[in-house]
Amino acid sequence: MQNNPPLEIAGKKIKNRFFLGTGKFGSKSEMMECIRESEIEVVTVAMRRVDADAESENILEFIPDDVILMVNTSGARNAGEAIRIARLAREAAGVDWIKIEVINDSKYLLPDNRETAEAVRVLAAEGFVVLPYMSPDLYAAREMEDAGAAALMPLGSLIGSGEGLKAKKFIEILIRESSLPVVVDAGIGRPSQAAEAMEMGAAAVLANTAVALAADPGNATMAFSLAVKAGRLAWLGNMSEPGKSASASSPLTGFLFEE
Amino acid sequence: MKIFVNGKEKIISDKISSLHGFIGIILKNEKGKIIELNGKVVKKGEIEGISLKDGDRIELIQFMGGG
Repeated sequence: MQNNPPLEIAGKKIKNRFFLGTGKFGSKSEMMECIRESEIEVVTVAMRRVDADAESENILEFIPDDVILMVNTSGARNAGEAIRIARLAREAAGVDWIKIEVINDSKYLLPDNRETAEAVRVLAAEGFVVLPYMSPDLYAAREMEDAGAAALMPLGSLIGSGEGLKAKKFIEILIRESSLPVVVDAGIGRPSQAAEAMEMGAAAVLANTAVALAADPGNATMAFSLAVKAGRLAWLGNMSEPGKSASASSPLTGFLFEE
Repeated sequence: MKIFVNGKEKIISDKISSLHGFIGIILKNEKGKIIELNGKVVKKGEIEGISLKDGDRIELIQFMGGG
C-alpha cells in the first residue's frame, strides 16, 4: 500500500512537495489558477519598493488563504538587509516563513552562505521559520542547522538557468548528512529534473521561472507537482540502483524451446 | 519642506501637512501597500493622525511576485 506521509516544517503538514515561486507570471490571475489547480501549498513572494507611477495589483489577493506564504529576502545584499525585510514582512502582513536569500554577485546570482547563516541565527531567535537559500556546502549546512534553520534550500544550478541538478553530488551529501529537510531550489527547469531531486531524497522542490515562462503555466505546474510526487514515491519505494549489466525480469528457467 | 520617498528627495508644499494626504497624492491605490515612516511601519488606522515634518523618510513597499 502507498504510504507517503506529508512533509512537516514548523508544525505544518505539507502534502504537495512542489513549492511555487510567484515571479514572472504573465498575469496574477493565471498564477492563482496554477496554485488552485495543482493544489500548491507553499508559495514564495518578494518585497519591493512601490513604483508610484505604475499601477499594480496586490499579489496577496491572488494567493489563497490556506497556502503557506513564504517571503523571500531577494534584493538583500547582506544579513542586515535580509533581517530588515523579514521583520517588515512580519510587521506588515504577519508572515513568519522566510526564505533567506542574500546575493552579492550580479553575474552568477550565487547566495552568500556566510551572511545567510548570520541572518538565520538572528531571525530564528526571533521566532521566524527560516529556510536559507544556499550553495550546497556541508559546513555551511551545519552552520545553518546550528543557527536554527527549519530546512535547507540548496541550489540545483544557477537561478533561472533551467540546467537542473548541476550540484547533485553536493546536494546528496546534504540530504545524507543533515537532519533538516532539503528543499532543492533554483535552476530546476524540467519536471524530470524535479523528479530526479526527489528520487535522491530531497524533501521538496521549488521552481518559478520554468513554470511562469512556460507557454502553458497551468500544465507546467501540474507536471511539476506530479513529477515531485512520483520522485517522492520512488524514494520511498527504495528502488534498487541501476546496474551495469542486464538482469532478466522474467524467470530464466522453463523456456519453451529448451531441449 | 524636504522629505525623502523611497530614497529620493522630494520638495513638497508646506500645505501638505499630513502623511495620509501625501500618500493620497502619490499613490493611485493604497491597498496592499506598506508605509514606513523613518524606519517604522505605519499601522493601519494610525496614519490619520501623523503629520509630516522636514527630513522625514518615507518608504512605500509592497509584496511582489518572486521566487
